[in-house]
Amino acid sequence: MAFEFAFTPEQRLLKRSARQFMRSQIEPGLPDDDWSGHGGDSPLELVKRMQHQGWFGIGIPRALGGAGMGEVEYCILMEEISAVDSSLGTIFGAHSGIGLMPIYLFGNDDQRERFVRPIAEGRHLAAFALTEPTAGSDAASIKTKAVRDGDDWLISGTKIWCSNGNFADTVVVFAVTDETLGAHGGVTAFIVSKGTPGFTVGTIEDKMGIRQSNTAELIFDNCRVPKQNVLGKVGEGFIAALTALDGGRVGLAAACLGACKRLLDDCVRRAKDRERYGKPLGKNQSIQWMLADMATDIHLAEYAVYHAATLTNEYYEKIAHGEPVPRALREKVSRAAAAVKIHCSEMTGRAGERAIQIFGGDGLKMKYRIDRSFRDQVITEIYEGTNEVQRLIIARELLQEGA
Amino acid sequence: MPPSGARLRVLVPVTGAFHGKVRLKRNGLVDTEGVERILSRESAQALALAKQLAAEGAELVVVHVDKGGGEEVLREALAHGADQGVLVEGAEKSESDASTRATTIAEVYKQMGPFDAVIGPARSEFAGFTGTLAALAGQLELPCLVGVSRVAVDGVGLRIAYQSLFGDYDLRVPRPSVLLVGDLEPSHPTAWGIHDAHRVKGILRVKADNYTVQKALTKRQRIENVPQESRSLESVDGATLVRRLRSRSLIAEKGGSP
Repeated sequence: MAFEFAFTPEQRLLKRSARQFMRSQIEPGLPDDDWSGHGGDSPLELVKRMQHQGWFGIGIPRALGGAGMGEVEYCILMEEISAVDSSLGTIFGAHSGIGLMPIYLFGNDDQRERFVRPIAEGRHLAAFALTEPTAGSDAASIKTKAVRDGDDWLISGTKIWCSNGNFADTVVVFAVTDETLGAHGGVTAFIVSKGTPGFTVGTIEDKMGIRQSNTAELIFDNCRVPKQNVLGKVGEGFIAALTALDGGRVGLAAACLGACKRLLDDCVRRAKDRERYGKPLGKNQSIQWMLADMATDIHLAEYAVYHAATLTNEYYEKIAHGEPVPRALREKVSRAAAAVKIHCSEMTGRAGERAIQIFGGDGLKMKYRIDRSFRDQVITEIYEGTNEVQRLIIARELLQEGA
Repeated sequence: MPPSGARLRVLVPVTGAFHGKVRLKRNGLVDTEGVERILSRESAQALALAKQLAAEGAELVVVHVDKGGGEEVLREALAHGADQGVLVEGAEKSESDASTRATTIAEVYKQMGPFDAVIGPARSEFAGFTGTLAALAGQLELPCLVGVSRVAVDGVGLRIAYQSLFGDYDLRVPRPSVLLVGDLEPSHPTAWGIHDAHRVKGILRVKADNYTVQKALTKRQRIENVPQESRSLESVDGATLVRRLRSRSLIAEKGGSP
């Protein structure tokens, strides 16, 4: 029997229409110089247009205002958005993959109605706040605390590297609720709305890449959150974080795939158009090899990303419907997500180097945007869990299986 | 025209286009096997115009005369916001010339009507669609306007804006009319629309034979019946054309009014 692995007509239409929309409606609105346009609300006008396309609730059921699709479609959008701009891809990923998804997966009916619906309908933006100054890769070491006060919780602490943090309407915040229990049992997720007293935005980081995506410091000073905003059960926040990050990593891999495909298109065009020694660059075998290596990387990555997305979709559907999740599926998803995250982020790094080589000195000029792709790629090997941590996840699975 | 107070209805004939590399076979024919069929850009423009009436509560019915791959074309049109789709199948067996297509669409118009407007593309992938819709207007005895970029309900009629070589016009036309879209930003389907088009909205499938399509003259007959005429066309460049039009006061002098 044939092994069928192809997009459905619906997915093909989503991909084509997203590509057309991004390239005709969004790309012309991007700043030529991303170096000076940073830290403000500049991308929000473009984000709003994307929200009106129904993309920001892509994996949420129609009954909750979403587009009723799933993880494969989320990855399709990540790919097409990031092919045009990685900053917009980061905004979309931080919102859909890790900001919105844990509220949908672990929220109760009331929370889904109050928080998921306005997000899925494209009226609100979401963010995810886990990392702290002393807890990055070792996320289990977070220090932000939440203390029970009557029917409320008081959250105190500082979160950093929060994409969308300064303009998100809804933030999922992770805090220690029982220091004696550690990460599994001692960390709880809270849904915090913008404007809640005690919640302020601190520094907006000035970065070398994804400069149109705002990365904020969030400060919680006795921020009072009602108990109705506890996401899932008290003490089960870390599981929510890890579950969201699995899907987020697959989405990030799709973003890298999109960025890489765009780089390849640019390089092929350059190899055809640019002449040296009386012939197009592409007539040189050294250039052909670079293009072929990029295309080979992309070909393999595409299958792996959408396979991981299919697994994640199955995993998320079970959680959303309250069905038991087999441990084997959970581990398979974590491993696949880690693998595609490593492969695709490093593939984009290699593609960026080759693109600069093919473009020569022009690759360093802003007008060709190759420099931007190169700078934007660096973070992909770090955020959503560094590639080193992803290798630990895979190795742990391998050694457990062999034990 | 529907009774007053009834929901406005618009028929939108759409066309398909090939998406992907289309190669030539050794025998010189176009090899389209395995090439995806999508909604043509011009049809997306027509839908953008029709959606202006949808914003005023109109129901949009899209019709596609299928030459293969038609369901995806029609679902894409539904994704743009159309309410109902009619897929005319079996048309690939008949001669697909403008008159036959117009007859088929006219039958859909009569059987599924009444409609307040027909809004369609001015071009299709290989040839003009203007002929089809002009023939449709002729068969239905409706006014036909080309180059429409804006449409709104205006009492018992429609208020339209259209562009021509001689300028932009704003006028009132009766309902129903056949409107061919002008230069307009194509509509973009939303994710919500794509979902509903594939999982919620139904498509009405009809066989072309059911519409008793009267075969128009085949291409061969037409060529034989048209008297051979030999005429050399004068080649006129753009500047000469503008000069001639100005000399007849059909367009404005530089910096002046016509």
